[in-house]
Amino acid sequence: MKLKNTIFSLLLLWTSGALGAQQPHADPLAENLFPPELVMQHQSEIGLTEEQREALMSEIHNAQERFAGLQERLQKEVEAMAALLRKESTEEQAALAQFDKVLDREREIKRAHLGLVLRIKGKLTREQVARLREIKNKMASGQLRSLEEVQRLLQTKMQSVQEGVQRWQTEGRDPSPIAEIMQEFDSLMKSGKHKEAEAVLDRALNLLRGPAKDESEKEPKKSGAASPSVPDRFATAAISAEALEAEIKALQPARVPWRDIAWKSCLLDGLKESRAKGKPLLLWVFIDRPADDARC
Amino acid sequence: MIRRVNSDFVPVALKAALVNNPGDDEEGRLYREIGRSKPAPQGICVANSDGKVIAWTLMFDDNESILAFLDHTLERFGKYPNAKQPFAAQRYMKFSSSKLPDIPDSRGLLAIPDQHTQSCPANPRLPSGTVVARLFGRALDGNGRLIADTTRQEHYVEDRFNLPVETQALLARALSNAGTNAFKMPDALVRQLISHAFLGQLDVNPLSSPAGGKGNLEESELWAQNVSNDQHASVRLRVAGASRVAGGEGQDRPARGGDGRIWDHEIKLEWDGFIEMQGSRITRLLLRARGSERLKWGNPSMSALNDVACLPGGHPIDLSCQVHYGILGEPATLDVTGARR
Repeated sequence: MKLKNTIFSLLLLWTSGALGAQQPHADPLAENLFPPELVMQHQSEIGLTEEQREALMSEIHNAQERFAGLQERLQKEVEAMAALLRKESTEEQAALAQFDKVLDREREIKRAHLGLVLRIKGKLTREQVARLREIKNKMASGQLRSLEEVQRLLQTKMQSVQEGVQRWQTEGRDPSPIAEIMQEFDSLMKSGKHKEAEAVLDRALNLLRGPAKDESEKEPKKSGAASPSVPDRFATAAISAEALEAEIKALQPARVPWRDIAWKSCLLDGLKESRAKGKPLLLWVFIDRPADDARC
Repeated sequence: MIRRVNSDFVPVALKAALVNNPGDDEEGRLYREIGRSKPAPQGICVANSDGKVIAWTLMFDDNESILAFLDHTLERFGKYPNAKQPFAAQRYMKFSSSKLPDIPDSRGLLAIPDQHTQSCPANPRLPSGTVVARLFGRALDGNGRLIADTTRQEHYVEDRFNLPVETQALLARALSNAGTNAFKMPDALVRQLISHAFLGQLDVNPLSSPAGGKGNLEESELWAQNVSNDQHASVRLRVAGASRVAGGEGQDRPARGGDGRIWDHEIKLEWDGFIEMQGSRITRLLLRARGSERLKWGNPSMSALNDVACLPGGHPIDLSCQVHYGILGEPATLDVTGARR
């Protein structure tokens, strides 16, 4: 009989949905608040109406202006603090007083941010709030991309588009079809429609990765061993190492549930800890290990 | 479940080979004692602080049975926390409905050594210069987006493999022969890279499934070309190419296991990326592969059961989608080549 080590993957699959409520470090405040980016990013999933969307955009726009002023004030106080600390001898009371000013500015920003988040929540229906909670739980369990992952992916794809356009220009090709596709991108990003914006980037990338019009006319670089198709393959692989690394890293989810178990790989270490803590060993005995070999 | 495991148990992941083929030293005898009562070469086991098995299981009746197994073994651990009092090892094919005969206590108290005889058998040292490569793979949905689910291996995989110095030297030799011309990368290296780029569990590896089956490397052409500008700096190779692999068992491919397994797996990928080298050693590996993948796994007996109730076969898979893979590699750090115990 064959027994694969899918067991714990399956156990985790079953339990991962409930993890949001079981996380030992769950933030009791954050779990009931929804940042504007989250609401806008999932506007279609929660059924945000056009009226709500406009109201939210208005709140966000107003807040952005206010935040800019608050950030400026904070920056000034931080600089004043830094000036005090640069002195050979810093007078304690003066420094503490200045530090209070920094904290006051930070408090103002946090308070303003909370106000924005509460006003946004106030514009949502009970069902929309429940749906956002589900979305946050799925993000926490790795079933949905986090906001940071989405941002990173969009940045990576945008960089690839820019590099592709540069490559086309170098090859003497007309990049205007890409510019045409990308016209929609800004407005989609501004309205928080990240999925639609990503689809625009994908369309541009697909076009950029397509075959060159004059491919058949190119003179392949001669090589004793290479087939004539090799230079063409290199031509379509133009991406910087940095962009490629970012793209590969973007494949990794923020959280992999099986790593939430603190697997040890050394039996002696496990037995020692078992004795020290008075806990039994739970042994996973399979072809490979989830702790480092990853595939089971 | 995760919280329970972390709070109430000491989780240890062991390679089955260590339990099935233990050494003859003190540590080996601990592995042997654990393996003495095993109902199959693989499984899940709870043991006490002297390494005495409390219970083994291979499967569970349903999701609730998993927590029941944790409760049950924890309760037995309360009675038998060490080897002072003899007790039998319980064994289940499926907890709790399908129990196998207990295995009596061996009555022996095994010493637990303070340190390994040589290095830790669970973490063997790698030869200096070995490149450790990590692969990430994702399935895409119909709209070309990464499928969000990352708990099933047919949607998201991570894998790790090593590139020995000998394989790196083959690449260096091919580079030396080609100069600045494009050249075909050595087959040994290409096969290593391609053979890990597949979705699903180990059993559906189209090139070398541990469960048997037949696979073919239908096409594999990875080319490299030196694109370094500075002759004194490390060499950067641009890589591009394509691969197509197919494997399976059952249907038109004969099944050797006799347990009715049926699987069919085909992966077509376009590859590109970079390899950086210093002398005959790879210092950095950055590769991506995009393409399509078709995977079917299962047999009729799997479909009606709860996932956790048919763990030996796993759940059925019927996948046909676009896929993205990425490989990041760099030389193993000192702690895995020498300093690790």
